[in-house]
Amino acid sequence: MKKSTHTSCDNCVSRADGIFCDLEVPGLEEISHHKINNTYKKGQTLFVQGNHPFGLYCISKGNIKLTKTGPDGKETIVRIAHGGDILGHRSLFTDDNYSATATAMEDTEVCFIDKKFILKVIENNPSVALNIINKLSRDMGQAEKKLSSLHQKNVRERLAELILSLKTSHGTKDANGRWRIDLKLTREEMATMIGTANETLIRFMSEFKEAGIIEQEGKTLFIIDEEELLNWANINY
Amino acid sequence: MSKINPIKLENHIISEIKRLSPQKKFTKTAPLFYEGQIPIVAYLILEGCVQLMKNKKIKKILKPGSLIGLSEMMTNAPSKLTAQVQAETTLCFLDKSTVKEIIHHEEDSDLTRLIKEEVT
Repeated sequence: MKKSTHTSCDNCVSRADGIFCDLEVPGLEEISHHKINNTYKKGQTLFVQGNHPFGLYCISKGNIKLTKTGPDGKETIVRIAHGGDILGHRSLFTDDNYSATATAMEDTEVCFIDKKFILKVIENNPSVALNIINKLSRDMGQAEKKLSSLHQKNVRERLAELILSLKTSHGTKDANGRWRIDLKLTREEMATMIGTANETLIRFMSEFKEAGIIEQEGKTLFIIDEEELLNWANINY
Repeated sequence: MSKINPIKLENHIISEIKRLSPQKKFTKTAPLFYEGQIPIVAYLILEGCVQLMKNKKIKKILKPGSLIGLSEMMTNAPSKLTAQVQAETTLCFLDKSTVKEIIHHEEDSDLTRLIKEEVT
């Protein structure tokens, strides 16, 4: 039986600013030995909307989309989590089932810690609880921002805002000084993220390209004129 | 990698697990774990069924009373098969912490003996 070797939490991308960032090495080692480390291939699901939550998922590498399926069967991307993010933290304090489905967008490395263990860690290390509260507060802020954006902004502004937010979470600067967003989202997925139809999104993407604000190579997006994008987003970013 | 050998449990052990862990009904088909992964919890089928698959082909259908993933979870052994729960199936879950608690704190019982046999 080939056993999987665990990756230490001490070497994790979230070591500096994750929920366990205040823990000393012995505390981290305890988590490292207890957690389960798995790789999810592109398209594999970590958990499914409506199912029972078991604990906390810490993403060490890759991107994971969280989608909600509506009564009409339509899928909406509510968030894209990346290396260093955690998933399932809301369910730690409630008995609610998962409100979304988590699917790997590429080969992704994820650690799992069961609920009982993480609650014990919190009990012994209040700083972990504070870091989770901090994370929940930021999540709430993001949700409020998204809600007001959907109500108060037009599609052009929402698309500009989405591209800027993807830049913050997933962007890297390339050699030409452009922001590269290598998320490989389909147009349909982007459309659901800003609450619009596919056709409308395509029309506005063309407008952004014609204005020289963005470029696209396959599914990779490049921001050429960030200042103009900020103007179009109608926010002080 | 582990072939996933389901353990067929006797009724009194099933009752003991039901006392210790939550039971949940799955309304939709959902993956429990994929080939190459370590199960994050052990699953006991109470009603319905779980399919074990390799390359999208069904290798085995597990019925109520089967426990899967216990030794793999406790020994960090990746599974050779994908497990998929079918709709309207009720499962009981044993996570790593609960299993450790059973080993260290529960009185000597058939469940404790079975777990010790599986994880050592």
